[in-house]
Amino acid sequence: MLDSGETYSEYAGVDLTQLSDEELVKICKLELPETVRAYKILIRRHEALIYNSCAKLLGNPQDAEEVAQDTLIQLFHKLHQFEGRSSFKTWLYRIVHNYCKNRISKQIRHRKGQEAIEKHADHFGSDVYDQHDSQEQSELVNAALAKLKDQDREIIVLKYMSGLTIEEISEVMELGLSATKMRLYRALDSFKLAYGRVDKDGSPSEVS
Amino acid sequence: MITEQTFQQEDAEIQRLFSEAGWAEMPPPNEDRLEKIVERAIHERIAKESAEFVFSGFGAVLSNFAHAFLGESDDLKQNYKL
Repeated sequence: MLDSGETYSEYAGVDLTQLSDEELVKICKLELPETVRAYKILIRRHEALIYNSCAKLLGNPQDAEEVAQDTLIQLFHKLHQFEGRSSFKTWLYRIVHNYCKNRISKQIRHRKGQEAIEKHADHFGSDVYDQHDSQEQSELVNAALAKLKDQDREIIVLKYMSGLTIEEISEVMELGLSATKMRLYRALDSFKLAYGRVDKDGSPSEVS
Repeated sequence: MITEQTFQQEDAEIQRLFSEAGWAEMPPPNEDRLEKIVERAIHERIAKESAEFVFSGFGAVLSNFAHAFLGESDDLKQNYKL
């Protein structure tokens, strides 16, 4: 719809909600930080999914809230650095990935790590976005997910919640395509194992 | 063990499992969170610009003090020749 090199005045009559992410980014680059019109639409589009992904990755709503907010604020400050070499979604989830990685390191440093994930696994069910879900199924999936290693959980969330392709995941995680596929297959094997155990007796054991 | 060959079938099955768990639903935006994000972003920008302004001003003040201490004056550098 919009070509590069267009000026800000040419966007004046455009319905921003109809534009693609990449087009909104172009407008943001022209109008930030004075005007936040396009930025608001951009973050409205991704905020909920980022929050949910962070909640699954980090295991507790407080951390997810902070990381989701920090990610989208970082977007405000760093948007001018987006050069379009990858899709906007890939670039955005790269920021999410880095923030989550830092937060997980922090959790581990505070000796929370896996304990925190297990402790807060119960909170998944009370997530506002899960209210209309199949509650039992959601709890089983979350309990199994909480038993996985951080990197296995992340790749599953990126693939099945954030909806990234394997190519996009490889860019986000800075891995080769083959390595990404292998990690995904391994993560799914671990998940199936954990899910089978949860489904069977409701008390999954550790997955290696 | 999932392999390249079995992945397509497994993928569809796991996709269905996560869909049933509510993962495929597009959650509604959280207005409070959006408002907080925009407010914080603007606030951080203002804080950053203010800090930059103060520090650049601080540098100019130091420079003028140094010049004054050394007995130099900006007036001497002025060139009024037309």
